[in-house]
Amino acid sequence: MKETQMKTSHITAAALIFCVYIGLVFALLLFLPEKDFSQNEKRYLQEKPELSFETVISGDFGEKAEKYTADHLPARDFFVTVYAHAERFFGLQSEKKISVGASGRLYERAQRRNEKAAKANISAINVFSEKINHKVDLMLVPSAGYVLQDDIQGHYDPFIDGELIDEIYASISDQVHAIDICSLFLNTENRFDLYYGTDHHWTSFGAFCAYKNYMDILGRQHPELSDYRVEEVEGFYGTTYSRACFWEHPSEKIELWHSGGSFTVDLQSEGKHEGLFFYEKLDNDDKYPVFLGGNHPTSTINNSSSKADGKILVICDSFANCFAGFLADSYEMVTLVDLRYYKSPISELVEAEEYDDVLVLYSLNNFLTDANIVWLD
Amino acid sequence: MVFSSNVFLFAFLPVVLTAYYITPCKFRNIVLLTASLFFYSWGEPIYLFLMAAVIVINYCGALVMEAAGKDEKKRHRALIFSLVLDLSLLVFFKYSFFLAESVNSLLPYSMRFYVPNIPLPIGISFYVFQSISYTIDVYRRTAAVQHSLVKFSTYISLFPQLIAGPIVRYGDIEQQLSSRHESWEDFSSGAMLFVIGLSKKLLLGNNMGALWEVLKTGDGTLSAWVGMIAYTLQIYFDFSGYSDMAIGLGKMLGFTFPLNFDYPYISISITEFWRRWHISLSTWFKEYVYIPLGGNRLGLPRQLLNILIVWALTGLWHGASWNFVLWGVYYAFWLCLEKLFLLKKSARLPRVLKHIGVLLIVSYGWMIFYFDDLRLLKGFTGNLFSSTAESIYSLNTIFAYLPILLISVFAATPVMTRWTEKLPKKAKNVFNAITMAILLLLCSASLSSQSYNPFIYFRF
Repeated sequence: MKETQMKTSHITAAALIFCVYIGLVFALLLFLPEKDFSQNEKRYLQEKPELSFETVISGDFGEKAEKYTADHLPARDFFVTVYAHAERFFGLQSEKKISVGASGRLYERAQRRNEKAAKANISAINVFSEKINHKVDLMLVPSAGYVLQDDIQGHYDPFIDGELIDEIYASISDQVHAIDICSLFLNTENRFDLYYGTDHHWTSFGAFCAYKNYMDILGRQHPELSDYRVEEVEGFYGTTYSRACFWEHPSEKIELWHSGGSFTVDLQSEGKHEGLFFYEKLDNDDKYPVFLGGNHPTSTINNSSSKADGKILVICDSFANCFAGFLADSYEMVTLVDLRYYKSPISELVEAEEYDDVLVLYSLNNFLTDANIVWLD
Repeated sequence: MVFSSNVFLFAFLPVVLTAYYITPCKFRNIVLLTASLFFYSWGEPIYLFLMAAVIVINYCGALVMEAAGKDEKKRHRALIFSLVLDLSLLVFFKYSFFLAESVNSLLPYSMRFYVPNIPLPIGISFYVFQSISYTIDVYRRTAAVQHSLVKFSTYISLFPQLIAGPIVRYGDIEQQLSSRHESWEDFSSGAMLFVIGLSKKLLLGNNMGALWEVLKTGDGTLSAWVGMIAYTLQIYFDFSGYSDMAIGLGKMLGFTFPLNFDYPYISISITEFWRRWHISLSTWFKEYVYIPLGGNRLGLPRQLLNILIVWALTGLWHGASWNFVLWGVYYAFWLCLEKLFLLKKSARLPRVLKHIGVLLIVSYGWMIFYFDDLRLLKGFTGNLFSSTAESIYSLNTIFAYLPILLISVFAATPVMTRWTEKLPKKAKNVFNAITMAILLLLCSASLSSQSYNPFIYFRF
């Protein structure tokens, strides 16, 4: 073979950039310490795979090594936001499905019609109300995008939450009472305060508006807006923030509304907790778990003041977490049940505790996508 | 392993390039061979044995032909023996389930038999064809017998083109196996070409693919048409992107592979299209099937038949399903039509019309290629002419992807390449450097985005 000669004067800047780049990333991958948890993704990152004959032959090493390099790419968060911005620049509808409003708020994609799920879930609720022979209140909460549709920029799927909720409410049985939130929210003066800008949940103010409306319908006493002392906590980055990946997006505040009552939260397996708010959860970026400590199969709030009386059972998704605190101002006992985790028959629970009211509270999006509601029994 | 993965770009490639260039020339083929075998066995180690078998069959077959000297009968027997073994392996691993199912569909239930659906060994269509090209070239005495098993194995298993081509005929790199002249110039242009190919795949192909995914269920006429365009672009950027990466990698290692895609969508005839699309495949079929069948030397009717056979096989090569054969025959039809009168009749038509005609024929061809269920194809074809309006959802998707669709269309033309070629050297270097930096940034961003998986349900 002839000896080759490298004409060193001919490497181009482009090729040099290429070599330096892949070399640098490789070196960093090799020598930087392993990361185990991603704050933004809330998941554990792939560990360094084991290199052995078996793992290589079975293809296991290959698969894990690919995941490891992907998860540990240096400046990964930077790259993710670059791509998110590039997609936004080209007006692309990304899989992350987040639209941005003129106000800077982040909106989740609109919910589409899902007749099959709606039918199945409504019939489960109808049957359940027959079974417990008790009135069941149904409260479906529209999405932020529906209430604030005029704020959204660019091309987005139309929000038909109002229509979908009306269709669902049209097929409830006599024992089930529909609680309207759509027109309530659309007609609220401070619409923009009803939802978070970086999270898909309603704010404490939004929950309060719904609570006040619900109590008025039931004819129950409740504190007024001015009776609450609002504690503000800064630095909240919610779910839509994590999905949109615009890291420079400012955080927002989360409000803890104190009515002055004394409450205990019983989380079953995790024991009892004094007070409504779990202040230790405020250490993370996603502060929503400050309400009731996050999601549990079941949790019970007891109000030890004499003004409150009665019991209410709420079958719900995470929207109830900040709503339940308000309910506790009007009831002696509030029990929350999350059908994703609670697998015992709820009718038994109703029988045992003799609840005054039973409420099914879901965001519309979850109502149409959660496969667990059909297990309501 | 795929080129557009983190593990290849940031682990395999830096290691292999470094190992290659610090090794003295004598041992560079061994480095390549080791790297290629490692690359291949990364996903499916077991099929390494299959590739080894194919290598051994053709290596020995050539040696037998050499030993037979002038004995044509013996050489012929060795050729047939190698070919039968090669093709049997290909048919068995790729087509046995397809053949069995086809036969089964004609039999009454009681007589049907069961054949397991073997997962397709990666690259088998490519390396078997490369091996065949070697054996036939040696038989025809247009290539010298390769005595070094290392060099021959390197040729067959070379990782740049092992998985997705181009199909490199032995004659084209015979010399390069023994004496390569690596140079910074080749390395530089190779690196640029590699990154351009990577960008085609990650930034354009993937996005057009995402658009097609939404539109292929085709509600509405506009969705069907835009979807068809999206798929037409996706398949081009995916495939030509891979070829660019393969050729670029080859260049970085001192190999010159032949061009595989030459802006096929600017063609103004189907004949021209097939001189620009997957060039190495049509060249292979021409050399090793069309010409042995007689080509155009046995009269017109025979030529048309030859075209039909070659294209049915070309279609079948793409996949073990009848719609691929249909796709091949579709092109045989157009090519025959052009040969018979269409080229002459359309000679004086304006370019634009011919161009649009070709694009329509080719795009629709891709629909035949895509839908392996002919009923779905029928449904989709109906959508193209149904004049129904689509849902607001599809319309929104189309608007959202419009900018990137237009960029893709532009990138499928040689406008950018021709412009950069005309730049003075210094400006070209600066332009390339900036482009390289931007593309590396966007490609890394794309890869990171793909693996970004927020576990939102943590507290829904």
